Amino acid sequence: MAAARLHGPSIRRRFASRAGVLLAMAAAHPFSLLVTLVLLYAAWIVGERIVSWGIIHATFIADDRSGCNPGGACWAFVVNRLPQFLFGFYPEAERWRALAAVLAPPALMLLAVAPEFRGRRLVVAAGFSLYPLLAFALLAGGLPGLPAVSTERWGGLTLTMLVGMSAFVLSFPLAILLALARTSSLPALRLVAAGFIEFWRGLPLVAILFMSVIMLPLFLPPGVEAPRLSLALAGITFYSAAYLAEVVRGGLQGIGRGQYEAAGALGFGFWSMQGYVVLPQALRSVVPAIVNAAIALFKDTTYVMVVGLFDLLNIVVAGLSDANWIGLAAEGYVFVGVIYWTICFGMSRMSARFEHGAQGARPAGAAAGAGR
Amino acid sequence: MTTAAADLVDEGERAGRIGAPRSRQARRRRVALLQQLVLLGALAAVAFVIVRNTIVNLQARGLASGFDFLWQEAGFNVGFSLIAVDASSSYGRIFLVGLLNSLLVAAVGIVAATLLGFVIGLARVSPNVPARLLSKGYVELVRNLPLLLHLLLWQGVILRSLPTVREALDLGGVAFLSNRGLYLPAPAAWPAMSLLLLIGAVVATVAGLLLARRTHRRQELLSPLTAATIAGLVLALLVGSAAVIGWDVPALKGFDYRGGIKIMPELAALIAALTLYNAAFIAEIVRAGIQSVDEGQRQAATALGLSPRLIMRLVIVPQAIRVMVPPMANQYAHLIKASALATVVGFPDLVNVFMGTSLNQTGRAVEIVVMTAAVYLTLTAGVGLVTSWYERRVKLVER
Repeated sequence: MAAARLHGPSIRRRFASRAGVLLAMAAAHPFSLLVTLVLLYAAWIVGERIVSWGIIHATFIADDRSGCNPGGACWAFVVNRLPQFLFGFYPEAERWRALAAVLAPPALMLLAVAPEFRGRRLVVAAGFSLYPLLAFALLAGGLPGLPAVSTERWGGLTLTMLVGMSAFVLSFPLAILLALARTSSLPALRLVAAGFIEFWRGLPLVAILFMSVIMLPLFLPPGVEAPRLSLALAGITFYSAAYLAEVVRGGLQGIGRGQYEAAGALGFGFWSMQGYVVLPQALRSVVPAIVNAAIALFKDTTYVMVVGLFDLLNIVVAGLSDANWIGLAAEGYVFVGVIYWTICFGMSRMSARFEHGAQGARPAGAAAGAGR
Repeated sequence: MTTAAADLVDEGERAGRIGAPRSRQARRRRVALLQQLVLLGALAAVAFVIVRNTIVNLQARGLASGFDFLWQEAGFNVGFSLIAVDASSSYGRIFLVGLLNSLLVAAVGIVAATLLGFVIGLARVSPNVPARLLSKGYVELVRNLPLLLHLLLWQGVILRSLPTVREALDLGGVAFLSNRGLYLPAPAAWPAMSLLLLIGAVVATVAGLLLARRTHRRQELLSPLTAATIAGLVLALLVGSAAVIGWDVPALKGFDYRGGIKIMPELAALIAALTLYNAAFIAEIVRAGIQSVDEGQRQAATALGLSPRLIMRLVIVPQAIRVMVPPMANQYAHLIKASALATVVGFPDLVNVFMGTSLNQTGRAVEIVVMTAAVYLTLTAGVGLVTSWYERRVKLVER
């Protein structure tokens, strides 16, 4: 067998036989052939138009709409407004702070998949868990050398990154606690956790955001004011925690009784058992589902538009009504789309790599957060 | 070694004291009870503080409370409604209008996304290479973009590609299409005759379906003549009923068409975005479901001489459905919740007219938020209940 394959037909022969198979298939399934041709033609037409509009006839440098070639895309709109799309209304002299807040998450993610070096895990873990605090402190300022900037001036990609990362990082410990509570042996704990999770999972994010900006100020002690950004962030964090908790619970359910019994026999208490034995295994088995939840959350940050925050999408939409650049919705949306697509697709590739690496292990639990 | 020995001694001592394990169990139970009481006490304390703050804050802002506003006149009109509504309607009716609009969007979206998702999902596993590549490209393109971006994109595309009201497309003189919406004739009067004919059509359809089912049980097909007769009868009854009904045909008056039903372009954009976005996720669910069916099933079906299409319909899909139901239910729940994005494009769904306009006008924040949340929690819980019922029904009965 092996020998026959080794000394198989020449490349030309093989090609001819491949073509013959294709021809035979085409003759046997004329409908399939027709579908193929129609699909290829449609793909060609669409692809050709996109390239011609977006690249060949596009204008990249211009002062306003009239300087653009009407036959192609007017990327000058995006180029001229790029600082605003990235940093919102952040003061020009302080933009390096916003830039640092934008670049930190991708840098940490690259570090997470980079080759191993000493202390890498510690750096990545510390970076992620401290990000919300550090980014807020850096952007808000108010320290010597860092003039204070009000949250109303934060916007663009900076705000998107900040909201997405902070909600994810803050919701993670909450999710673990909720998942542990929901699988606990104490009925009251189980009930409270299940109620909390189902409440936040059952509501639309749009409604949650409205609720956070309307209800949370009522819940706070009289006289305490919180910026809109913090209110919205609180709502998104609870929402994300509920979804993540279900993912973590899927991982917990895959841990056999023997693990608990063995840890108990070794004298582990509850928290050290969870911290050293159960959670490391449970979380590792659901890494792809966790990444999916992160992707969904990142896309969902666009919803902050409904409470009037200027995230990347909203600031581009606001820019569309600029009198100098009227009627350039397609360019604006394509720009936003490319950024979101690159980040989300990149993360999903990362998740696929983890899934591949964990082959042979238990298949990842039901991806509860994947459907968003 | 010594510790192990000590343990052994310890164990022997414990076994000697009768009742010791029982008391330890009781102590553990007491501790558990205490822990739960502490938790509930802490939650009650938090709830108390929140309620007190809310009452103080509401009083400080001079806002009234209570559900009496539901009977008050709302004073604003709604752009699209399935039931009669005008500016003199009560807030309760506005709530109902918003609820029905949300349900409409969700229902149409679920049906359309399921159909499209199945087609794309089947293309994902088809032997046709371009179909496979294109469907994969579609899924990867669509699901890595935010839903809100899809929605704004479709709103822009639909609004821009439609003509103005002055140049509205005339569809047979009874329906018109412009960038303000699709105008359709609406039934204005229902004579008894039309209702009778309509009921007749329903009865004929049900009878035809029952007949088809009975013949199917005998593994036969309905004879073409019978089928054609029944279809013709139903059609004739429907046409007769439509002819008797008094129609309200839209007509151009001033700057807009009056009369009939107006379907807003926002509704079209919303449904298009929800359908295309969720179809990508449903396609992945369908693909995963089909690929979960054991290869031996396909081989066995092929050996029995079934055609590829019949293999798909009779062997693969029925088994794949079992795997697909739970994630599909998740997706439907997501679609129902995502219909709240209507607020962004200005379609009057529940969140928009009730949590938006009504709340701004009345200031009854707590009542309105509780009602809206209750609606969505009921809907998502309903999806869960139906799913678990269906799961039990399609569950493989094993010996």
